[in-house]
Amino acid sequence: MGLIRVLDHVERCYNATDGQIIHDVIEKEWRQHDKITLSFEGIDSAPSSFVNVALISFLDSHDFDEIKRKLRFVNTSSQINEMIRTRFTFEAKRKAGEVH
Amino acid sequence: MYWLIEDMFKKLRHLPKVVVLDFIRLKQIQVGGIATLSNIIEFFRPMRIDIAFRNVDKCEAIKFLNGSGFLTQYDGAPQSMSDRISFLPLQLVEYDRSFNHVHNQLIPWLARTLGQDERALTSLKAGLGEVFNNIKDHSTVNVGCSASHYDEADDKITICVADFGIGIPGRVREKMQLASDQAAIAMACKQGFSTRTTPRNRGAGLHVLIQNVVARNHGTVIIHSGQGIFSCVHGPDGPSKGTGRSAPGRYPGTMIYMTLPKSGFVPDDIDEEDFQWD
Repeated sequence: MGLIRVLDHVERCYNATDGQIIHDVIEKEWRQHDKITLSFEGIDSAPSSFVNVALISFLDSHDFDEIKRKLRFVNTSSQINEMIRTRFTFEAKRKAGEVH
Repeated sequence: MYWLIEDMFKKLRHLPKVVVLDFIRLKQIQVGGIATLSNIIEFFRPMRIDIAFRNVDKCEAIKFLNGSGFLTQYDGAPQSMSDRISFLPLQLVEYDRSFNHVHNQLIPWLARTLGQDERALTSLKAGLGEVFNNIKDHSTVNVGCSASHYDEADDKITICVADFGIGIPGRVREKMQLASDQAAIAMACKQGFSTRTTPRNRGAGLHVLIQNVVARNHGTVIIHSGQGIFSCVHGPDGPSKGTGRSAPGRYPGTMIYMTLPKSGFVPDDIDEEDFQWD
């Protein structure tokens, strides 16, 4: 299982630039591990710009069920959890054509 | 506000060396007016047009002008200690400084004002980050004016961030045609609508802001941009879907005006929470 500590790679989770760095780190680990755990230790909030680029962009190349099996999130605040959940749910529905 | 903007931009046609702002008839001003005045002054500055103030100390709004940090910023007047409780002073926030502004100034001031642990404000923190990311992604300028005030008698915190960039309707129209500017702002506030000004931008920032301020904390978000105004309020039956209307003029950029009733604030759970997909 791969463990990625977000703060080992970025100083903050604030925008698309930070998100791209985390996206690239996850992408490198993707094929090497059945499961990848992303630790948000030291981070208490993440706007959508970060989450969209870091995580939601995986919906472009993987289906939602595969992402759910692969990614785990630990040391998260309620805000981070809700942002990840709501953004994935909406974008997965959009990908499936359920929302426009 | 719209009248002032129109008048100031008319004056630009004559390229004056000095524009005098006479405050004598100003009875009241709020953070929206402060942020807009600041944007006007900053807009004139690179054109080498000086702004002079007249009758500031004789106007009825002197207390707010002073407390908000406007006079400190532009007239060198010191802000009193008591004002530091009610106001987070006006600041010109470059995008690169916006993370620091949100995390180390706005959120600590809000936490003190609300009497909460900063960790209970993570939803607001993310929402305010969306405001500045919105400027970066959509406005073509790199600076927003930020002003905040707490009115204890009215139980209300107001936060305003305004820029003089391209504005939301201008950006939306690069992607689709809409009948009015207010319809364009409404579209920009829909989850999933993106102008794709940056790769992988998926359009959720304004939606998240509205969710966090209005739906979660019983506040309001009013967006002025171009000739449209879009308001989201929390009524007795819950958050509204938002209402658009024509502005009485043109806002040359975007102003996001947020209010939070202190008594309606819902703190975030400050404990770590296990993530579940469903």
